[in-house]
Amino acid sequence: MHVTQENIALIDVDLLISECIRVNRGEPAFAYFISPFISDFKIPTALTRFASNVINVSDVETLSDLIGLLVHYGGKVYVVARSPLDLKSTTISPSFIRRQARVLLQLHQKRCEIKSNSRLHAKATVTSQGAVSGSFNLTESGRFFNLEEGQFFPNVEGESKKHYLEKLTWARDLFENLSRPLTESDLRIDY
Amino acid sequence: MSMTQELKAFLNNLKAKVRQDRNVPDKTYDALVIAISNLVDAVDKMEKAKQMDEASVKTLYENAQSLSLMLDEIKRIRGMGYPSYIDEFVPCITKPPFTMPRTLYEPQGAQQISINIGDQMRAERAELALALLFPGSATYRYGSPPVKVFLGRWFQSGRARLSSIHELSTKPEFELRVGDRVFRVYKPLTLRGFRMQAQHPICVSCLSLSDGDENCGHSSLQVRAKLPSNYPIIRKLELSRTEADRKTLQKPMAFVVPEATFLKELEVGMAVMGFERTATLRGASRNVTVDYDPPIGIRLVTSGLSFKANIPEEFVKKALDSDLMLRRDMILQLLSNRLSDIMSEVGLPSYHHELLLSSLISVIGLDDLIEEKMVLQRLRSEGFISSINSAIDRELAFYESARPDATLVESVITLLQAFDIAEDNLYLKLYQTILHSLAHVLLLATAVTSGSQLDDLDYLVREERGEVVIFDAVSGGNGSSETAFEFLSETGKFSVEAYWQSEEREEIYRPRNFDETAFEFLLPCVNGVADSAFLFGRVSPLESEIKRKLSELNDKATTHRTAITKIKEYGSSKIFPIGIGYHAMNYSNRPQDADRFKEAANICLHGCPECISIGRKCHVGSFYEKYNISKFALDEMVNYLLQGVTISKLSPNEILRTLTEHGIAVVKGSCNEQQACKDLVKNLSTLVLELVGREVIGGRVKFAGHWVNTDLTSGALSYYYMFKVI
Repeated sequence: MHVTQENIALIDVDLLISECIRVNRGEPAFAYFISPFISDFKIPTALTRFASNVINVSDVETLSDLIGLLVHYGGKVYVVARSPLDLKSTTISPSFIRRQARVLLQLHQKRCEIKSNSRLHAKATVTSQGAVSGSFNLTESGRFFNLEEGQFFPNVEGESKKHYLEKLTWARDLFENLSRPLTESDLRIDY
Repeated sequence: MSMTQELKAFLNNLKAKVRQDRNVPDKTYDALVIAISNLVDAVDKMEKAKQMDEASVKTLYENAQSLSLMLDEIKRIRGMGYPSYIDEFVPCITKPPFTMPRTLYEPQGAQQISINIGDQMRAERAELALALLFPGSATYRYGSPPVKVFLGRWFQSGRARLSSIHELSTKPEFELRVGDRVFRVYKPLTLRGFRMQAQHPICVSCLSLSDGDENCGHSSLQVRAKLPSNYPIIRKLELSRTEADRKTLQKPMAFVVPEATFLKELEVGMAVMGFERTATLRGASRNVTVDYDPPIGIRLVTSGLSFKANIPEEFVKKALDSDLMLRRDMILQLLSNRLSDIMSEVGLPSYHHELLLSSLISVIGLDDLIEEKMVLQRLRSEGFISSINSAIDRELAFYESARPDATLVESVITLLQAFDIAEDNLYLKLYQTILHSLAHVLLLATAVTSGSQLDDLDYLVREERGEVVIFDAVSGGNGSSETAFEFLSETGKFSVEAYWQSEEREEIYRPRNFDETAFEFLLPCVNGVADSAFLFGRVSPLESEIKRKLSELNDKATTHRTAITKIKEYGSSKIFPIGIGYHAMNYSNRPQDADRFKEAANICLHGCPECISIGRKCHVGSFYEKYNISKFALDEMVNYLLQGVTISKLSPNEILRTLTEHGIAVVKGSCNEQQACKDLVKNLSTLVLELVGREVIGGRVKFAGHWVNTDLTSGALSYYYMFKVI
């Protein structure tokens, strides 16, 4: 399915809710977030409204809340992003780098596994239920403000499954073999 | 050109003419210019006044009213000749219905009640006094030892006569109709109290305190250091209202409650009909109800919310005609309510209610699915009273209390035999039960959305209008209902452009949305799902919260084995009646076994504290609550109302068709075998993936809900997935 800034946030949220339901049922659930830049942002109320007697999503306010909820239920969350330390040598503004460090620390505290890759430019979200890849960073601008384009590959029988499995293999390989664990010094930004 | 413009033009022309006319004397000229300019000013003001909206006029009028009140107050204070009048003046600054105390040391509120504790006099806010300091209650509010409000002896009739003990208003505040009875409610002017002793001997039979006030004639006393818990039974009556804004709710909640109105000013008559007393004695919790004669109460001016409920007549009839279990349970609830009314009329204390009802169930055979004709036939059969007496004797072994007075029992049963259960009574009862259950849901949702405690709010049910009113339980209001109204019905739509411009991005705190919160309370109760799955289910749900509850129930499988086996033998259709009293306990005489049986049989069918049971906040009190609510009936109604958007076929095209037509679709799948359930869940998840984010009627498909239920009869597990267009 074609994905733009109009529906990317909706698909993100619904994929994560589906993971919460899976893990709540005792099935394996995970999410790979691959994005050079990451920020925490508010999820519009219309997207988090979810009526359920088995999971509690409605109180979620931000993306990190939703990721935290998935981890809380027992899901695994893996993140690959640019290290704030590496970004210091670029022209990117210090405030932007500080925010990247803060969000990564926050995700680390929520028990997400975080790695960095200095050549990272690809962007994707891969869960057990589907994969979204395209031009969008995992930031408020990437999700709501910029003109973005990408594709959603649900993990369902047919052509889509083949593409999904390719994305999953790539994301796993990127996280496990091509990226390095984030250290404390990566997050220590002395501006 | 408008009339005023024409007039102004004419005046300006006239002014110019006068200026040019040399024949006009100077004095006349000056007078004319002033008059013209005044006239132009007046025309301008008139034009402005015409443009003022109704709200501004109202505000001006209210301000004028407020100023007039202040002037009256100043005139009154001048007459007093006090050196300082500021304390007297302060309360009139606030705009009604809000109130302000004269000093920091005085209670807030428009009305006060005096509390006379021997040598001390206190003044308390009237609604607080009725909630905390009602006759029979005890409080540490005035230090230790606690103060008890006089009640008098009540044990013989279950009725406390208040007029001879407390100072009540000479004329009733209002009249309240409950069923066929009309109660005159008097305002307490002064409530008398006394300091209690450190030890509190309590009667094991009737829970009377042996404190020189209540002293019953029973000999079975137990000395306790802990006071029993007392809760007032408060009935409410709407006296007047001023309606403000109205909002339409969103689907799916809109199917049940289509609209809500904010009631800016609501006058409610609050009547304390009596109170409930609970104490744990010899390891078991005991409960009694004491009625007041006369009821006491006040008029409260506050703000609230009105909800119009959609309870289709067709559903009520269909449910009662097709579901024999629901029909039998409604007969039982009707019988229970009539029994409690008769007991109150005859003067048989309420602590015998369960014993009598249980005996009635066993003699009539209400454990079985029988209809009202059979019930009435058996109720009026020869030798019925003697059968009831035998049943009471059989069951009495499990109770701590003494045998109820045989003459009074006979009077109660004789009056009950005249009771008629017509078809219309049953329809009305189911309608009332659903509306009352919905009132609990709306009360809970208002509390959650506004971040209030249940004690901050109250409710009343307008059966004749099919309406539930939730209001702030304090004179002048506390903002709870207004806050809930504010968070009611957001559009629920999403577009990136609208999101850019919305203030939502900047909001620091986002409370829960009312529609969604209320709808979650309407979903199947997780406790009930686990209970049903444990006792009658053919497949175990895998959802962690249900699994956790199932594991707790499995822990009881050893200790309560005999009880559980017995309940399974009785079957799901008998679950409500067998949980009442001990008539269904036919395998042991040991009280411990009886309590275990009762504990295991009390599963969530018609409501539990995890769903719609609110205990002492219920307007019939926690003791009679279970005979006046039904989560089961409410669930059935919600399913009925969602019928038009519920799809059993797991087809994306079918769902998209429903979404296009209604903007909402609920997919339901059932299974009764573990592997089938796994396959079903997988297929449902695939549907989610195939649909989310797709464009439909100018919006996008959102995965908007997921719930699980267990069918009590078939034991099958049902999964529901909800989609909405946002």
